[in-house]
Amino acid sequence: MRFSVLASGSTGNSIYIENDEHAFLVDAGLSTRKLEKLLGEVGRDMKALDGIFVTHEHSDHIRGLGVTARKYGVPIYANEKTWKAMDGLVGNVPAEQRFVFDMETVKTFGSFDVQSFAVSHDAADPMFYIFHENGRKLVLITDTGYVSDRMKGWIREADAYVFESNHDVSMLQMGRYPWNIKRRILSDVGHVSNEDAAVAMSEVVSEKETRIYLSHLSKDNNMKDLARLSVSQTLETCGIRVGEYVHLFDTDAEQPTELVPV
Amino acid sequence: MDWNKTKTIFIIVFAILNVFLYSLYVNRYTEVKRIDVQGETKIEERLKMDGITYPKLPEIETASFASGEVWVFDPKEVKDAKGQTLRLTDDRGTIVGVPKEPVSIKGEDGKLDFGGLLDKYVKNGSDYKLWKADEKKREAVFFQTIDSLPFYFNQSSTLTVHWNEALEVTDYQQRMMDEIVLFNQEKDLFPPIQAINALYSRGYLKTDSTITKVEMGYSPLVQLTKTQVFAPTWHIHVKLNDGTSEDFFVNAVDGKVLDKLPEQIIEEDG
Repeated sequence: MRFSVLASGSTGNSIYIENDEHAFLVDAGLSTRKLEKLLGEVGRDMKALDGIFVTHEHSDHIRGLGVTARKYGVPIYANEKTWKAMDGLVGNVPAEQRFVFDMETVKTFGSFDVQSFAVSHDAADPMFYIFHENGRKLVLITDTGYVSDRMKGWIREADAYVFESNHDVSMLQMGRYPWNIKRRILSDVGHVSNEDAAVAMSEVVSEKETRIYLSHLSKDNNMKDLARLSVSQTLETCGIRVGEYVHLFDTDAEQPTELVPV
Repeated sequence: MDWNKTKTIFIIVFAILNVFLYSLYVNRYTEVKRIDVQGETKIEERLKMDGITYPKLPEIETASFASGEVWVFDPKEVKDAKGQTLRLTDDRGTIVGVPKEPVSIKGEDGKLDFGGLLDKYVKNGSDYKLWKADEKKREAVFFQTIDSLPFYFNQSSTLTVHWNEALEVTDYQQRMMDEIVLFNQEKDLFPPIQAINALYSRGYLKTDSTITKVEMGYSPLVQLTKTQVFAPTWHIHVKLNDGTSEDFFVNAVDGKVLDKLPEQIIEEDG
């Protein structure tokens, strides 16, 4: 299994996952043209996609979904409530390309097992995905106000994580966002802060080589260096030595990460 | 019905409509630009009308955030001290130094010169920049710098020097940051004229005052477990009509006027 975070942030999100038989996107939150370009940058083609898994209906996750589905005939997977919420947002997706992926279920695609799990976010029925192949595990978890014990149970001991590290709490509190937005971000259905993300990570990583991609960083209330510093220091406070077996990586709103094996 | 004619009529009508819409767009765009230009002129004009002057402004357009860790002094440094007696506070974050021989700070033309102290006695003394020397209190405050840019009023990187009547150093207290790094990503800065405007529009700048200095430095932004993070900050020094002066700080990334930084006071210039 290999993956690349094509883009991450409030301007658009998409993650590419492949093995020797299949290729998928999780979310298509950028224009189709942008997705084509980003996928091209990791040496891959949209034509090879076998499906797009949708996490929730917010525009930064589905902006290019309808056009991509129609242009490439790609099957789209989402739960029923998300499909309903996407009505009128993604245009017409042909019935033969619409598939329901229920919450907390597993679908198998060749040697890939794709598992869905619930997150806490202000969308219709938000969920994220875990990819399993040959005992290797890739967890994608962003857009959640907190990481519950139930979520921790699902995501424990993965080999790689794409983990939300949305904001620095002080920057958000001091920043120029209106109070209602600040309250939403800080709420249980908003986004996780650098420190909260790190505490959750410390409870789920095991003592094996683990890659953690810090993602969905706020443009105004976070910075890559700050997120990395904050997460690594909090992890170290929790007894996890970063750089030894846990490795942190940046993601970007416009640059894909290197396509790496899990 | 002649479809060819109909098609031609439609093309002509839409072409005319497009030209019309484009001209509307160009007019609107030009108007908006004109308003911006007038707005900018207005700031400068309003400052002029209120008798507020300012020097040539720095032309720094981008800067990085910075981070640093509080230095914990090694007791060995205290033992090995030469030419001075050193003492550590309990948290080992502050070192207090007392020179054994008199160290004069008497400079040319009656000015104070701390070069001798900084070079020979203070650890990484060249990294510190004088912020304020109060001759009545016989106290000088220095801020640690990175690339010559000071960390304003950061309690973890300040040097305070005291002296006696003979202008000889009696003691100094030093706190220091280590592992100071600039973040990789550079941010576009709020231009200094806009920082002045932010102060002016909030009523901080008094009539007939003189902005004597506009310079870049860093102010504390975030405190992490081990590290402090600093934001690029404009420091604006204003001399008032009555001889006093004031210092203001504006976050250079988002233009927010910072509340008075810790220990910041109004200086008496005369």
